[in-house]
Amino acid sequence: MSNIIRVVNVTKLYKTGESEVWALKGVSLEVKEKEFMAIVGPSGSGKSTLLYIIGGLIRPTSGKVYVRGIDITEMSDDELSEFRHRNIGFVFQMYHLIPRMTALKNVMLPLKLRGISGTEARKRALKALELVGLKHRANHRPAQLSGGEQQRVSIARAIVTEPKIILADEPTGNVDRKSTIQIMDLFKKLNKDLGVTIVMVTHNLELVHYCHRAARLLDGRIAKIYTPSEYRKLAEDMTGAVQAEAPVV
Amino acid sequence: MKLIDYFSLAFDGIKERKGRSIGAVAGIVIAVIALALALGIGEAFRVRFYETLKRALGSDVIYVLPSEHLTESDIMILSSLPDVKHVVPIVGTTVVLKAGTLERTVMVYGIRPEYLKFIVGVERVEDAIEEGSAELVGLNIVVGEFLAYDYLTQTKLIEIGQQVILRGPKRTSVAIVTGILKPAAGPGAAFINTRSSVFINLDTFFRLFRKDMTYDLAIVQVKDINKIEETVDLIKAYLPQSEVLSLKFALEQFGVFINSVQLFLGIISGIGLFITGLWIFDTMTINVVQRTREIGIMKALGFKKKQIMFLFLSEAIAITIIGVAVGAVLTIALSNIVGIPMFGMMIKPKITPEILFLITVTPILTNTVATLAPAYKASKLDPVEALRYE
Repeated sequence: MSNIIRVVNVTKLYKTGESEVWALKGVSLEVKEKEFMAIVGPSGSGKSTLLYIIGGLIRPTSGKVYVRGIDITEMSDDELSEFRHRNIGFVFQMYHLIPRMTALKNVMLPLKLRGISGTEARKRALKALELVGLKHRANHRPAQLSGGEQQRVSIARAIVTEPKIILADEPTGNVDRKSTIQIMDLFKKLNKDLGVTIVMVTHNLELVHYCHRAARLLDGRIAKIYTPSEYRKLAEDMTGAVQAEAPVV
Repeated sequence: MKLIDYFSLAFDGIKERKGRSIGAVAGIVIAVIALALALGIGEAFRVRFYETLKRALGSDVIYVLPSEHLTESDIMILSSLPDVKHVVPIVGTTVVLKAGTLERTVMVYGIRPEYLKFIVGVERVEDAIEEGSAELVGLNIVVGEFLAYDYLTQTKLIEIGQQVILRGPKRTSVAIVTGILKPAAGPGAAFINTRSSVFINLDTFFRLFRKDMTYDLAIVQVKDINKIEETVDLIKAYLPQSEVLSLKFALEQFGVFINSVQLFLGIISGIGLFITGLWIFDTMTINVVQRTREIGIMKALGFKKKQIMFLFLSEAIAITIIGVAVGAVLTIALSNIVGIPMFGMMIKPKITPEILFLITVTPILTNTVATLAPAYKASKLDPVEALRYE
């Protein structure tokens, strides 16, 4: 299968006043079409930065990012917005639903942006909510939903425009175990049944078992890319890294 | 994204911030009412004054005011101009009128008796007289009603047939009151205060007060109203030093004055709109800060800068449209109730379609401009920083 995402030697420098922090120090990564890839690594390793660069929310300091064969680093802000809208669905750790809107209205928002409104938008949004098992909660506001339900609404919002790619930033980071399983099953279903490519940032190693591959980021670089047969090794490597980073008592 | 969806999202936002939205709408309502009533009063004043001016000046009349005096030959030449129907020469001077206990400085005008009807604005000479007769011969005089009656005490000051003394600058004469003039509504009312003046036969006037037989004013009536401008040009050519006035000229001059008054009233009440604009600016600036994360979400979903901008602009426009609609309805209701006393009557604001257009467009433009800066700021927010905003 062809690469739907190709990251070539990407760096990202954050400047805050006098201080400079290299979040990414030359990352190259390829994600195949219909692949479910995890990006793991300790806090501050640059996982989210890499995900947002792939999604065009952050511009890299150097390097190239190709999504569906198109170099998105050359795009203007508005071109990036349009590209995101057409190709990518985002799922965030904090759900990022609009509080004043019902679940249905939140899911309808990307459709309205596409110029689809009224009955058609409602129909599609309800279908997406049905897919995540929340059609019966369509008229509830985010505050009336549990964390897991809110995250499933945000997944419905991400898939309602039928994007080729879903970028998920710690999607289970704020939900209980039961909801984590529901969300991961849902991702698996989207990936397997609908052929959606998913790139998921997580620090939960249990979740990598749902994925085809896992890229481990360490200090702004890809340390290694693991296949399912190497996930035990990944767990050992991660534990080792944590121990290595832990202060000596 | 469809326009209706922008406004649907805008109304969601307005509903969420009810308190501030109601405050902003109330401000716009007050500003719209103030502006509409101010302009409406100005408009009503214009209409009322135009009507009064038309009645007083007459649309077929030209006034010739010489720099010094008009001679008999000037009057004859004016009379001979094509399209001229009448030329009414008028001459006047100040005298002291003494009748019994009454002693008052008044204007006495010399006039041909047949032109009294023209001054008063009636068809027949007899109709120009309230009491007595219009026999202006010798030392007979006709007096205005304010000289004949004291309206405060409801008493008559001068009787028909009474002898009165006219003390001029050079000589004093005794005259006999033969009639009391009706209130003037004709062309003469523009320059002569008929209610407080005395009218005497022209020949007698020349004999008593002006030996050189010259005139102070000529009222020229044209046969065809369409020829008035041509006649004005001819008179101006013949008497270049004179002021030649027609109704059109007066209306033009008055129009400049009224426009200035309306502009002044508009600016004063427009301050309300400016303050409303500041309120909207403040509301939308707070709005952008409060909705920073929401802006980040929208950007992540693919909203472009101009779409984010228009989201905030449509919210300001929606608030303004609500305010304008409520304000316009209240204005129309109030325009039938409120009024200001002027010309002895209550002038009520006249709300024209132009005023309604102005009170709709001006607040929308003002508040759109006021929202531009916060909306632009929202559109420029970095999506990731906005998403992380606490």
